Amino acid sequence: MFLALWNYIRGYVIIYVTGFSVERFINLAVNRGIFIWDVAPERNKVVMKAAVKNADELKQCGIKTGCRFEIIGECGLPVLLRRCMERKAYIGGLAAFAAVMYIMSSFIWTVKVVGTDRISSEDIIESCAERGIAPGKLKYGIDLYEAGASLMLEYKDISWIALNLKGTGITVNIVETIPETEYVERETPTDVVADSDGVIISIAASAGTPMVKEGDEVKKGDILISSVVALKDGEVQIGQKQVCAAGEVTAEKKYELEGTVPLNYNEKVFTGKTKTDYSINIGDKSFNFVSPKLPDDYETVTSDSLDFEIGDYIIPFGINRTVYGERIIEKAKRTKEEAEELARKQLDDKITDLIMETGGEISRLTTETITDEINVTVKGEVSVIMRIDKQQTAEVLNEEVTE
Amino acid sequence: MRAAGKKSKKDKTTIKKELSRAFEIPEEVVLDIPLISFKGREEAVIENYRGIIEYSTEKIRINTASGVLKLTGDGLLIKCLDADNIVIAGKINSAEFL
Repeated sequence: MFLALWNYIRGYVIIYVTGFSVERFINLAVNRGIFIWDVAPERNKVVMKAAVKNADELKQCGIKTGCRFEIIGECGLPVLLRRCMERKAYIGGLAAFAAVMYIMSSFIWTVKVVGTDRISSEDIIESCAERGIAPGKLKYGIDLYEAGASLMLEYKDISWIALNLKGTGITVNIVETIPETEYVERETPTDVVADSDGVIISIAASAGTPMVKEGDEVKKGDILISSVVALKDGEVQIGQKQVCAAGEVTAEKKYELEGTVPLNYNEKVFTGKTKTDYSINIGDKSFNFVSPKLPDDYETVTSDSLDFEIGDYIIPFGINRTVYGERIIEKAKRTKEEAEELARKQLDDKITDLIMETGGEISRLTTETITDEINVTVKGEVSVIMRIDKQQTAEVLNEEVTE
Repeated sequence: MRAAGKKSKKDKTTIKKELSRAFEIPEEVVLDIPLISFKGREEAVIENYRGIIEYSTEKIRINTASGVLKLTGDGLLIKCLDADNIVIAGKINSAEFL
């Protein structure tokens, strides 16, 4: 194998020898120190291979022994190099391609942030840009560890950060800290006031003096638990002091909601005619060369995009395809049952929103359906039990506290 | 009767032989006799040959210090050769000293 390799590197010729005494030719060549290999008879000639530099000597041997000598081919590295020299543009192109690939992959093309919740990704990307990590910058000479450490100092909410460079993309992995628990001020005197109207269902005060009891009707802003606490010695009040009132107060409030659905309505029907529009995005910019003419009644049906990646190299180049479909408005009519069902669903949605907003529970719900020529309305009266306590800073009473 | 003091070629050869055997030197190095190695029947390496007498795909005759070696077979080719060694490849049927 090595012999073959060595001969290939040196370059060799393939020759035909014809004549009466080929054996004499071989003996003579060999005695002169020429190395010959792959000798094989072929019809009336003998083919053999020998190193290129011996070609002249072989010719002489041929003349001496009276054999006809013919070079039919040349192989090896020198031949390859000669051919390369003839096709300079091709070789140049190959080299240029390799160089361009290398240069293009020496830059950062994308910066991605993963794992952020409270911190905004844009802020992180901006901070990275300040530290020299941005698309278009060289990826050599950037100390990712240092950048990560300084980012961690800048943002208090980061508990762990790692910057990874893979190919041409940088991924910033962040794990945020657990949010701080809020501290409740215990120094300032506060009252507990009503956040909305309602009828008190229960009141449980952990600090302060309750001002209302079960069954009382209260209005928004009424003091439910007062910060003023009476100091008693036995049955006699000897003074008072102000505390930070706290407690849970639940009340019941009635809400009236309704859902209305018209019997005659306009429906947008898709006729089936579509027009497709393609656009190219490079980086953050979008280029649209040929757009179809869209009359008014065309709307977007689907929009998808295709981004390109080669292994680890994310190419910021993508194709967007938007399909527009024709929609025409048709007049449609619902039956009373259909309308009522839709109206009921509307009402349910509103009730769900209310529950989400107040954080309470439904205690009672009554519904009433009203049908006329135009609409079907479902009216609902819902009673919600929810917490209405809210802390509010109290007025400081300038009375002396006696122990 | 041999002339006194003149050693014949045969004597010289025998002395060399005895010496190489005594010192355990390989004889082919000292005496120029061929060393023939067969790799199965696919390849034969002949070290220390003098020249090729005849060559064809069925018969190769090689001149050596021990006589003419004839190799017969099918599809015989000379894999490589230089001044001292010759490697023959192909299906070898027989090897004979003529």
